[in-house]
Amino acid sequence: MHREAKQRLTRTIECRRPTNSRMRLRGQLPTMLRITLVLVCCGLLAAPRVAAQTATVRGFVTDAATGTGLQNVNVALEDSTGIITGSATTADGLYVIAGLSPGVYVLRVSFVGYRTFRDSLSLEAREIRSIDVSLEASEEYLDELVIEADQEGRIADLTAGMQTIRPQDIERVPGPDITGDLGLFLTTLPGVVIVGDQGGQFYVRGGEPTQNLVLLDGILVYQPFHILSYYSAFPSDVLSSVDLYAGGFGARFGGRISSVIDAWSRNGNNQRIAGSASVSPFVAGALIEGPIDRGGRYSFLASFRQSVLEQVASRVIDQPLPLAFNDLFVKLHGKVHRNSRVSFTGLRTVDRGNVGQTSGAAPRDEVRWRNDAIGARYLFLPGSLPILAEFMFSYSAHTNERGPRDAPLRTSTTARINLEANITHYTPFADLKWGLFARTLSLSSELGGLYQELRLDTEYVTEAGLYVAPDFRLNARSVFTPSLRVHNFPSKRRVYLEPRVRGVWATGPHQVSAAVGLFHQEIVGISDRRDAATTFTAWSAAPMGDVPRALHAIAGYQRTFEGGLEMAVEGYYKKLYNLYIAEWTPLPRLTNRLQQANGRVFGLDLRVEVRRPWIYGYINYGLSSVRYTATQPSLALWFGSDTYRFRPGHDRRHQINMMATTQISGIQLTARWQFGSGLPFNRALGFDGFLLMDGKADIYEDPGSRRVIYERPFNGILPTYHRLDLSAERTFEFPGGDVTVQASVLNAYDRANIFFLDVFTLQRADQLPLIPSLGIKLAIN
Amino acid sequence: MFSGRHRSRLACALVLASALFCMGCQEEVTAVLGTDRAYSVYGFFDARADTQAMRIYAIEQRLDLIRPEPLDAGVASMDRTSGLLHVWRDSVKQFVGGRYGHVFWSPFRADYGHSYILEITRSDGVTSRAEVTVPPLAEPVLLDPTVAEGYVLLPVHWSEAPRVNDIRVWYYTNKGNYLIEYPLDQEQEGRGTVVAITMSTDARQVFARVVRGGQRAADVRLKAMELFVLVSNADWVPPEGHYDPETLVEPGTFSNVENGYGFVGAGYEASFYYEPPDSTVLAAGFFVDGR
Repeated sequence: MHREAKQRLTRTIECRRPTNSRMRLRGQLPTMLRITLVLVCCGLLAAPRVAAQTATVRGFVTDAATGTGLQNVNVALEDSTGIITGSATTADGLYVIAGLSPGVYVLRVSFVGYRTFRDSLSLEAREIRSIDVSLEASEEYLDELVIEADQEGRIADLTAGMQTIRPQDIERVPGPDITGDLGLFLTTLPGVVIVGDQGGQFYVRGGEPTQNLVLLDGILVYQPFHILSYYSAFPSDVLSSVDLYAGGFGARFGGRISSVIDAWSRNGNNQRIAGSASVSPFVAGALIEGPIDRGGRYSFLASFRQSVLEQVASRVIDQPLPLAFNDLFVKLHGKVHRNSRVSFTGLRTVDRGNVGQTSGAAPRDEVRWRNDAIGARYLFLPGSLPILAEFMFSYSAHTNERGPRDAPLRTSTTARINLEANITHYTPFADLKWGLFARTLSLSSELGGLYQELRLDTEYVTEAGLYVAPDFRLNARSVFTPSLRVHNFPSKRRVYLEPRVRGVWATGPHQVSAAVGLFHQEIVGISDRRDAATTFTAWSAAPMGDVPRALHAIAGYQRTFEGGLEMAVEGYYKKLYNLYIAEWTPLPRLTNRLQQANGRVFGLDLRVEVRRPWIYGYINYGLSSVRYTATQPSLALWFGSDTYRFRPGHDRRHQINMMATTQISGIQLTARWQFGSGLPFNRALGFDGFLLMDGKADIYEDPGSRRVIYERPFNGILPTYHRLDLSAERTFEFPGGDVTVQASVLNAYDRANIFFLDVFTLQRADQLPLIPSLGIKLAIN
Repeated sequence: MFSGRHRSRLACALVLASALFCMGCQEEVTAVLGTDRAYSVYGFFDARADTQAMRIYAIEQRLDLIRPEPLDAGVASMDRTSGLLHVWRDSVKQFVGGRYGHVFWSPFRADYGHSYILEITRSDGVTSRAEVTVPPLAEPVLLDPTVAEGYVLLPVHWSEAPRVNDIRVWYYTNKGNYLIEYPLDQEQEGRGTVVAITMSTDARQVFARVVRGGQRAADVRLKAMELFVLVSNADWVPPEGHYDPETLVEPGTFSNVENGYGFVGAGYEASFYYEPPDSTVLAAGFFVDGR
């Protein structure tokens, strides 16, 4: 009955979702920004006129038991004629319903699994009413699967490349640990490619890892994925939600040309101390949260995880696993005032290991990286204006090293200070979002000659800009968002204009969405992608002057069928310009020259999702084609042309992911099978040596160089990849808490999936073999 | 036909059956395709050396360090002009860092104007081969120099030289000896080759080095100069006119070895010693006593 009521409600309400838009503002403001500020002030002054004859209702919806904000709660206002106007809450639990005519309304706040809140209110013209709601969990037991299915964030809910991922989605994926992880979840998505289960390198729809913008609570995290790719800095139990934009993202995001992972953490429990501790052969972790003050206005949440796979999992499989990582997450949240919230987020991750080396790990090949990220966020709802203002300050640092710890061969250190402001004006017809941002970056590298023509010492780059992104509501479920981003690098004397458009049109069970946009990336990450095991990345301002840019075009269709079946299909096309890749050379050396390349990507994502009371599952299929084109004069003599096209090493043509979960006798059983067609690799004809016969070579004394006699770049195809993961999980409750036990098997049929093949040594590195795992998690509520 | 729970169990059973079916499967991958080409050879027949030598690499399937054991290679050369056959012997050279190189050598002097065939044969009969002609003996002759205040050009004609490589000029002065390396600019004239010494330009480089060495440049006296070249066979020409290692390292881009890689040249080093007159020295910018 509850579900039917929910469906009725969703059919009738007019959804206005004040999404958690963010925007950025800052220090050294050029003329352009001053002009913009004037325009913005005009906009602020105009806002009351727009709302002069209408009223606004807004507030925060929280869980009564924990005090944390609830996302996607339906908030509906029904007037005396029965017309319903509604909204859904943001990740902060915020809702805003603007443009209401004066009169009497019934407020209804409903969320699956909670008692519906009802109240009546009378609104006057120009009134802005703040109503905070604490929802209590319903006594009525509802099947967990049904609850989850009714919430947003389904696998097949794909809107112009954007997908909302919830912690529940993450936890469903069978992994080595009870606590789910975003890193593992991403591997289930059709447009996401990882070249191996080590290295933490994610490729989204043809883009490279350094082209992904990853944010946690609005704070940039340079390398959020751990060296064991199942893990990231985002365990599911600290997350509120994650918006993944596989392309075509709106103007509030910038500085990257591939994708955006916009993760938001949840607030700590402000009612009582709670926590959990878990251990598995891979990771041990603990989480604690609770109120800071007696009034429950301030809360904290802290999580720490430490890998133990070197000590435990390696013994399980009797094979060295020289990989280690840890992450520490801390969040403080406070309700400063009825209309304002403040939060502080801190994150530190540390990784080290020898990627792909299960034996004979050499200090020379060890890679290490560390992220430090802290930020503050202030959310403010002015008392007299239908506006949401968000101010953010953050500091992000990243260090990457390769080589012995006491004398690394290469290092790269990057730090960024970011100041930004995001404003949303709520009007009857549109949510006008705009923002300002300003940043300063410090980029420092010691490359040991890795890239011959690249001289990277310490470089400072300043960036400032603005964006405007109004959400025009076409009908209850259709939104059109043209947006423009302008960002300026004064020290580089560069200004970028990035027009973008996103739109979704929905009626009945059908939804069509599309996005196009232009993107630039001034700060680039440079890696030698010829080797799958290469994880060292040097960050730099575009080293050869030309800035990488991309054009995205996305179009998708989504349909919901009767009987819990949903499907989505989405095609995409990307043009990439001025990419930085290693120059093609037959010398088996660790030093390279950089060259620029252009690229194109196209592909198709197909997702089918089934939600039935007895089973939940999905099948994802991804088709992708990536081509790079580079011009290298030295190749003219070798290949007959100085232009060569090739499939880069992450061009996985076909990818399938299937997952199914069901519950039998209280045990949650989950199976996941994944398949990927072979990745390109560099195949050789043989090896010889080289001496430069310029008349000066002394054949007695000149050692010469070893040489790889290649065919064409990436002309070989590695074997296909497939793997089955299984898990069984059961939770035992006791007063005040519960214990969850999970047994899982990774790579259940022990497929020898190749990670990479070193053509120099013919050493084959496989991904992890069959690993049984037993995890236990104790939670105190 | 099946209830929901039965269907889920059936699905699980299918998954497990699939797992058993796929148990332990592994696909092999060929990383190195192999090639019919046998050897890469580097070196040149030197008409001024008593022993001829070539660096030889076997084209292998692995990049392992070159082994000190003898190469599976039989090397022989034949003088096509005289019909003399020479068998070469392997020697192993260890370089700094522990790497090895195989230098094959034979104690004979290559004759001017003679053609040689070098053959390297593997035990299975696969052979790499190169043929090259040693240039005739060349004599340097100074052609009419161009001498003006601040501009001195000294063209030197190497008769019978099909080509020259490794062009360099030594300037012997009272402040020391200075080497100026030249690009490969040269002109064919008759059956010889002309190389122009840009003496006035070189003088400025010499002065700059003198100053960098902490000495005065005002009184640099030129005693003599000497032009060195490697007189080379006609085919010893780098693609695009210069020796760019990034280009030439591409296999096959600069090679005359049949069924192999590398380059086998022929030639000899020759020099032209010259003591320019005071007027030329002065015009080039050097100091001359009493002038």
